Amino acid sequence: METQVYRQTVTVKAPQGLHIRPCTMVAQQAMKFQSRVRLSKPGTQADAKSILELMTLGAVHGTELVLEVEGTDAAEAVQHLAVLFESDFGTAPVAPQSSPAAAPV
Amino acid sequence: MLVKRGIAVSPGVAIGPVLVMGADQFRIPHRFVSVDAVDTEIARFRAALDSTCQEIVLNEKLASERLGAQYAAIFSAHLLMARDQKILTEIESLIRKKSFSPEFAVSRVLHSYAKRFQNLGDQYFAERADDLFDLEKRMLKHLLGERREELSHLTAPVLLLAHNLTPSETAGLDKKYVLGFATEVGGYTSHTAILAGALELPAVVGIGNFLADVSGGETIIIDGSHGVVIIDPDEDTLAKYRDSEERFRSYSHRLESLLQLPSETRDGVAISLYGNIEFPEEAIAAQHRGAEGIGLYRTEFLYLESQKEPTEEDHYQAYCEVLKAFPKQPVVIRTLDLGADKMPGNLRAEYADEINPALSVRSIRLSMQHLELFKTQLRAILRAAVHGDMRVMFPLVTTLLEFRQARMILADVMEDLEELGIPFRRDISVGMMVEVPAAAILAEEFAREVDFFSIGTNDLIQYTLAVDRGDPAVANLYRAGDPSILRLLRGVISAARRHRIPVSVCGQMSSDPIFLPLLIGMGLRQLSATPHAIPELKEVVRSLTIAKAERIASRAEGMDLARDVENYLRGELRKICPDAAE
Repeated sequence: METQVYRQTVTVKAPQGLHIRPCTMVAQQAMKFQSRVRLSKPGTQADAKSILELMTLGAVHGTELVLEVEGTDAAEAVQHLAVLFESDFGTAPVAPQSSPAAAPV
Repeated sequence: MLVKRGIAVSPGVAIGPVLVMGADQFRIPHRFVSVDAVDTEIARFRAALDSTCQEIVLNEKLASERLGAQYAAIFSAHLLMARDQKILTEIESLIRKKSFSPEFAVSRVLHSYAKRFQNLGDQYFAERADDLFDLEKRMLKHLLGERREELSHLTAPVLLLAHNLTPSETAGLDKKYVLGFATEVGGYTSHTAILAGALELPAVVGIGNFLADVSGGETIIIDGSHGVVIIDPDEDTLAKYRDSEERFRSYSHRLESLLQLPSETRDGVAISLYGNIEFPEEAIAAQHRGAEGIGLYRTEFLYLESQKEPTEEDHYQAYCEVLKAFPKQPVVIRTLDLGADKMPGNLRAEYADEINPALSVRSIRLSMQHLELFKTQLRAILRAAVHGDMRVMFPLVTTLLEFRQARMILADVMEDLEELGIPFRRDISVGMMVEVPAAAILAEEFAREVDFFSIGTNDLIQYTLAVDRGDPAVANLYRAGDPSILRLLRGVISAARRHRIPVSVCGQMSSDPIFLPLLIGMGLRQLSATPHAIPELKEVVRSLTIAKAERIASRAEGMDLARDVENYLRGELRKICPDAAE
């Protein structure tokens, strides 16, 4: 399977910003895929599989981030991650798996 | 150079780099490791990381069960941080490429992220730095070894400094890497001190707060003979101590040569030297030191070591292990001496309100209130006693009635075993500890009913002089040489001799060679001591005659003050056996 690159802009809707729980969910989701996943804003970028780098983005409420996924399972990965942002990390904020919005499309 | 004084609990001198073991704040012992140690250091880091992750997973589970899933989520985040590939790569590359010690590397990398969080200019993110400091603390705890498993990861010899060491931590110290230790708390007769002696590690305890003066990695000297710790010694001091380290070693060698010689006075009177032990593994050490048996086997550690109550089988196995080292020699088991400072977890709540634990439910009193616990132990003792010369004694007996009741329970247990057809020893010798002044005063009456006495000087002194030996504010009032103690000892030894029952002394007093001529002079013919003290005691025995010992005893017994008694005894010992007096 050939390597694909997907790029999409996502917005942080959480009032507290990309705080520890959303970061946990993003990292957990990103680690499910082979692809390299990056989130960036002007001046900084983070490996989405590293919770610490995600937090150093300091993405507050309303920040627009560029989601860039590169790899064999990139199409699927970008979809799942975008859903995570769109659903504001699920209505039940604890476990991403239990969130209906984050269910596979 | 900084000199700190504490209580000398285990003789010898150790010189080396310091490792500070703290519960809350961690100091990095050394920042760099040698290039050829890189692989082992990385392995050590990974092991610590695994333990850290396991600990977080456990916390996550506990939090989710007790508090709910939303509280557990924070631990999921911590786990992700601990397993974050970015930082792991950074840490490992600092160890590999720059020879950073794992502790230093962990600290550096986590602090750099914490700083980035703090610089984001947002309160919420800045506070996340605390999560990283928490993670750092966890990792350092596993690297530096708050627990003994991690202490076993040491790769170079160190001198250990800590606020406190638990007995099990002390017992777990690897002598290859730990050359000596010093603690802020603890007393002369604390179990940690006793274990240090057994391990033959130079040790000083009860120094008071001093860890703040140590940053870690500097050279220190621990002088366990004089209770001194020297931080950053100057050249002259170092030279002086290197010399005395050497002398101590050659004295130890000479003592080893005594091993094959009998313990008897110059005029041919045998003095039996037994060992005090807490753990079955110590039996071997006692045997190597020339012990002729075990005079005091403390069994509390079966309870305090594990969260679960030990089964009859646990007791039985432990006792049989001791009998393996001493198949034909006497092995005296003291029944549970729990309570006061030693209370197992499951009973702690029941007795939490004791106003004065030392005068409350402890030892035999506790056993009598928890008959199932007591009977379980007695059954194991009676069964194990089939395999050797095992004897049993009850601690803290205060009245004759109490002794009779304990003996009756023993008879009940025998009856049960009989009915079940389980082999046991019916004619087991049943003795008591003489450690309450009431029992010492009534020694004559007790001697008619018991098979033997063992004088527990630690508690006898504490109760006679009304001094808690563990309280630094009054520790200087705790004097084995007090005339009141001498009079009680004389009374108990004489009563035992009149009734022809064996009597020994098993407290810390019997491990101190200065008291040996006195005790022999009073008529004592057997004693039980910390195993490491046995060769030295034997040397003193072999330098004495009974007539000389009797003269020393009667002179000491004529003195008014503990200080005079102890000075006199020290002076006499110096004349008889100069090396032992040092």
